Order: sequence, then C-alpha cells, then structure tokens
Amino acid sequence: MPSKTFCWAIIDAMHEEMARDEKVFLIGEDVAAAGGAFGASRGLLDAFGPTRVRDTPISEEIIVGMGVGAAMTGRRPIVEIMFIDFLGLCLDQIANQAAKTHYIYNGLFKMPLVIRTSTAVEMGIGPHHSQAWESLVAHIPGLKVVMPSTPRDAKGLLKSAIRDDNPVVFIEHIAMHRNKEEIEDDSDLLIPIGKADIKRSGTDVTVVASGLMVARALAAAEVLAKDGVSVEVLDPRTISPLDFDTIAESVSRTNRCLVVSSSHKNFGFGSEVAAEIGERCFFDLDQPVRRLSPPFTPAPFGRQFDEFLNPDTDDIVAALRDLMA
Amino acid sequence: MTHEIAIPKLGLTMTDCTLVDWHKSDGDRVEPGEVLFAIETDKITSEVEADGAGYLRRYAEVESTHTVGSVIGGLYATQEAALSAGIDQQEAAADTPAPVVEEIERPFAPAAVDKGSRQRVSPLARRIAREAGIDPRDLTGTGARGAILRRDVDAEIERRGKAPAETTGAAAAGATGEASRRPLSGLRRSIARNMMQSLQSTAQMTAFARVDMAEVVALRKACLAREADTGVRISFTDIVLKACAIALARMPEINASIIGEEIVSWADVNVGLAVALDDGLLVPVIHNADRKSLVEIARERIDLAARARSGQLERHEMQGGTFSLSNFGSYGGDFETPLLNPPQSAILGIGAIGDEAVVRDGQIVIRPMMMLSMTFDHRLIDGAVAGRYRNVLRSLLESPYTMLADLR
Repeated sequence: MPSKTFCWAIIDAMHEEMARDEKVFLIGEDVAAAGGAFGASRGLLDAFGPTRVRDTPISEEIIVGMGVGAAMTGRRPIVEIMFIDFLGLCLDQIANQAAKTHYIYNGLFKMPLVIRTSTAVEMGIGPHHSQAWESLVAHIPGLKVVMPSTPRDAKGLLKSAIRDDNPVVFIEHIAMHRNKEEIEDDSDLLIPIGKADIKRSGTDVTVVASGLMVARALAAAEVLAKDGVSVEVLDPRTISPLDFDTIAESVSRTNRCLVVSSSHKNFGFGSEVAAEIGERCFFDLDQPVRRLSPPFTPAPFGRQFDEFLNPDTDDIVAALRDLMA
Repeated sequence: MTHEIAIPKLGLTMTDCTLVDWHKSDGDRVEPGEVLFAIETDKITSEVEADGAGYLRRYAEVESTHTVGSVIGGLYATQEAALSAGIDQQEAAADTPAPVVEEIERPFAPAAVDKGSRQRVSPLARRIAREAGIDPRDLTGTGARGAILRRDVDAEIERRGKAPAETTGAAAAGATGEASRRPLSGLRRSIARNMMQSLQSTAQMTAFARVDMAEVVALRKACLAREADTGVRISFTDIVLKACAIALARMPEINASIIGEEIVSWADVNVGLAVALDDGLLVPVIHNADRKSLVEIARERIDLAARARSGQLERHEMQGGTFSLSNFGSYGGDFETPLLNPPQSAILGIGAIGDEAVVRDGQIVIRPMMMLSMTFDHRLIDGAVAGRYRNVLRSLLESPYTMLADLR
C-alpha cells in the first residue's frame, strides 16, 4: 500500500472527487497557481484547469459567499479559508447562510459546501494564526465539523464531506501535514462523518482526543502500558455531530475518562464531552471526568511558549496517572 | 409475578405486631415508597412503605396480629389479577412467610451530616455496592481524600466471597497455606456472639482516669498481715471490686440497663469479674458485693475463679451481673477499651499499679498509680454521669477507709 502524507491525502481526496464529479470545484487564496499556501492543492490547476481551480482575492467573505451561492445553485464547492482564525471575517456567511439554508428553505435548496481550513496551534505564529476554533463552529446547528488526526482519516472524511449535501467545516492541523500513513488505493475510500474511531483499545481508562492530541494520547498510552495501565484512545474524528454512543460505550467499560483537546476548556469540546458523559455514564464513573486543554488566553508569538500552552505527552501521562490513583 | 407484602422487622426486639390501617384499597395502583399500611408494636405506630410496584390485593384485615415476615398482601401486575386473586393464592402466600429482613434499612438515603464529613463514593462504586448488597459506609476508601472507588467495593466483595460467614482472618488478609482449621468451641462461639452483639447493640464509650493507689497498697499490706487470721489472701482486685460496688450503690443510675424500650434500675449490686481461661473467658458474678466484706469477696472470688478454670461453675453463678470488672493489669496492661457485657451498662478495666512521677503540692513525687478504663453505654449513661462515677470510685480508692461509711 502506498504511504501518503496528510497533505497528499487531502490533495488525492479532492483530485478523486473532482475527477468523479464535474460539479466539484475549488476556490481560495493561492489554491491555484501556488498550489495552496501549505501545498495542499498541488497539481489540481493542471489537472482541472482555471475554471474549477481558482484563486480569489483576499476576501474571506467573498470566498464563502461564492461557495454558498454556488452550492445553492447545484455546484459542490470546496472553499479554502487559509487559517481558521479568519472565519471571523466570514462567519455570517457560514453561520447565518450556509448553516441555515436547509432549515430556511425547508430542504428545497441543498448546501453541499465544504469549507477547508487550517488550524496552526503550536506553530508559534501568534494570536491571529494559532487558534483552535472547532468548538466555536461546532456550536452552530446545521454545520458539520470534521477534524481528522491521520492521513487516511483525512482522505476518507474529506471525500465524505464533498459528497455530503450539508455544509461541512473541514479542519486540518498544519503541524500534521507531513505525517505519513499507508492508504489503500481506493477512489471510494469513504469514512463516515459522525463516527468515532478507537485508535487503541484499552480497559482501564478512556482518552478522548482530537486532532493533534491523538498522537500524544497514543504516546501517553504507551507510557501507561509500562505501568500496567491499559489506556483506550478514542478519536471522535467528527466534532459535530459528536459520536457520543461510541464515547459512552467506551467510558462505560473503562469507568474513567480524560478529554484532551487543543481548543480551550471553557465552553469547549472537552466540556461538551465531559457533560454528556456525566449525563449518560454517571453510574459508570469511578472518577470525575478530567479535561486537558490550553489555558484560556490568546496564543503568544514564538514556539518557545508551546510547551506551556498545549497539552503534551507528559501532561497526558500525568493526568492519566492522577486518574488512576 | 406477584410481589408479596410482608411484615417488616422494625426493631431488634420486634416479633409481632397489629395491622392497624391499610392506606390503599384492593385494586389500587401502588408505587415503591408510597405509604401502604400501618402497624403497631410496643405502643408505637409505624407506617410502612411499599417496596415494590403493582396493584394491591389485601390478604389481612385491620386489627389482625401478625408475626414478622408473614405476608399480609400482594402486589399484582394488573388490576384484574389483583381483584381476582383467589383465597388459594392468599393462603399459599401466607403459608410461606417471606424471608425476614433484619431492620428496615435505608443505607443509601443521604445521611444527615454536614458536607465536610460526607463520605465520598464514586457513582460506579455506589452502584456496584448497591448491586452487591454492600453498604458503602462500611468501606474504607483508597481514592483521593478517602473516596471509595470501585476497587474498594471489589475488594470487599472478594473478601466476603472468600471469608466463610462473618469471620475474617488470615485467608482474607491474603495469607496462603492454612496452619490449621478447627470448629468454634461452644464457649468461643458464645464469646464471639456476645462480643459482636455488645458492639452492635450499644453505644460504647471508654473514658480513662488515673488513680493514686498508695492508700490501697497500704490497706492491702495491712490485710496481708492478717492473712493467717482470716485464712484468705485479699488481692488488689478484691479491694477495687469492693470500691466499685460501693460506688454503684451510691449511684444507681450506673447500676441500670436498657431493656427493650425501658430503663431498668437493678435492686442488687452484682459485680461480674472477668476470669481468663486457657481458651476463653468467663465472668462469674459476686452478688451483692456492696454488702459483703473484703474477706467474703476474696473468698468468693478465689472459689469462683478456681471453678471457672476447672469448668465447674453453675449457670446461676454467671448470671445476674449488673456491672463488670476486668483486671488486665495482671498481664501488664495499662489501659484498654473493655467491651460491655450487655445488658450491663458499664464495665471497668484496671491496669497494673506502677510507680510514676506525679506532681503533688508543686513537687514531683513518686506514687503508685493505676489507670481506670471505664466503658459505658452512652445510650443510657452520659459522659458527665460516668465521670461522676469515676470520681466517686477514685475517691474511694484514694481514701479507702471512707468505705467504712458505707459498710453494713
């Protein structure tokens, strides 16, 4: 099986879907001639031409607005917002137009829009380019929010997102772009949206981790295994709708849960998971649910601060040992 | 399936009761926790809640009397079933009394204690404990701040699974390889039962006090000098026992018991004396010790102890005690927390007499001191009353000639 980077998995997904369905097109800043600000659309302009792969002005509102209009009129647009931080500029198009189209028009109009965007936490590029906003967009009904942690998941989920008639915010961690994984050659590799994946089976404690945190949770599980503690690592893959059934099933077995996220604790992904576990699994809990998240503060410039801000493997190990005490 | 409604055991002494009221009629829907009927025992009327759900069929009439465990009604799945329940079913049910549940317990009701001392139990541990019929309050938590976790409940379940009956021991503690195994002797069984019942049925509190035994030492020396005349060797135990008896005669509130729902004051002062055997313990009683001389007490004590050790005591010689005395000083002990011998309300343990440095009139002096360890039943005797008794006793021991005032 060929080994692919996360970045090429994204490119392959778009390439295959554009070849499969001529209604699919890609627009965004630097997606065409430059092949993407992070190289995640290389080769698409050559393959599909300037009508279907198009650079836009630096206007997020126009990018998403075009996508919404195109989707309502029968196209299947992929729009790229370079950093998730820039969603602030086009949140009206996303939250008040894209997310509500099915509801307002009673399903008469579809909204097969994919908003590909990147989160760059831990890249040291300052408060405007380092945010993890998956919790923020997951708060909006009508949007699906997908955040893969491996190249194969990224490819399968992006293909599902393109084929989905609902607006999907697809979040890529730039720090993972070079991660590699073997991916089968299957132009119909579809990973269902809304389905969690157990990345490592265990019996003593469940770690629910998303995005960048999944690999760290797996590393922490290795450390705990040496202590004789069997850690289950569960990656929801989709932030909204969240696969609570799989989470509840896991926590009911392990009776303990740690949620690790690169988004803030306050009103965030971890809080949502913890609260739902409280409601569904109260009588299966042997310890309070714990959350690990960056502090409730903007991210500074400079990578030297990363270790203070984001949960790393050591933090996860410490939290797990505490939960098992 | 029919859910049987049985007379609960509402108190240790309850054996039967009168059904005084039904709060529901035949065919009524009943939910768990609803007041279902009322019974009267010992002049107390108690309301009993349903412990199941269903449609009621009453088998028993108001004003009828029932023993604990007898079935007085049934809860049926449907109203029709309840109303059409035949007399056969009623009799069949009545013939097989439901298992008697000791005490009505609500172990999971929130305890009326302040939050600071509230026990921390994980929801999972609480659930597993409930399923296993374990009261989490009996457990010791090993989690953060003493929280009871699943492992604590699991350990208790395992312990109960391994331990035959109530006993725990080397096997439960994880030791392997038994050295021996033998049946409980009748005496050991009886001691085990009495001691457990003692701790479980009374509110025991132990208080300590030091006594200066110099005058008792002098008194005993004088008594020993007369041993040839009296033919009996008076011991420290005899003198303390005599002082206990006189103090009890002065304070009848100690010489009393709770029997059922009443306080009984005893006319006689009968002091039991713990006698150690090779394998066990007997407590023969010196009756009317307050009215007997030291010589009489000593003679009786020597005879009872000898016959206790040779297994020749008669039943009446071990009955009727209203107070007990245990001298563990002979084994070098200083203080202990003796267990009550119910229905007695107090027991005194005495330690060894030993020279100690104490302060008298601003000077450190050496005095022969002894520790009193008095356990009393706080249901009946408050700390202040127990303290008064101890003071009377101490005064008698520190000035033993004042016992003359009470001699008859």
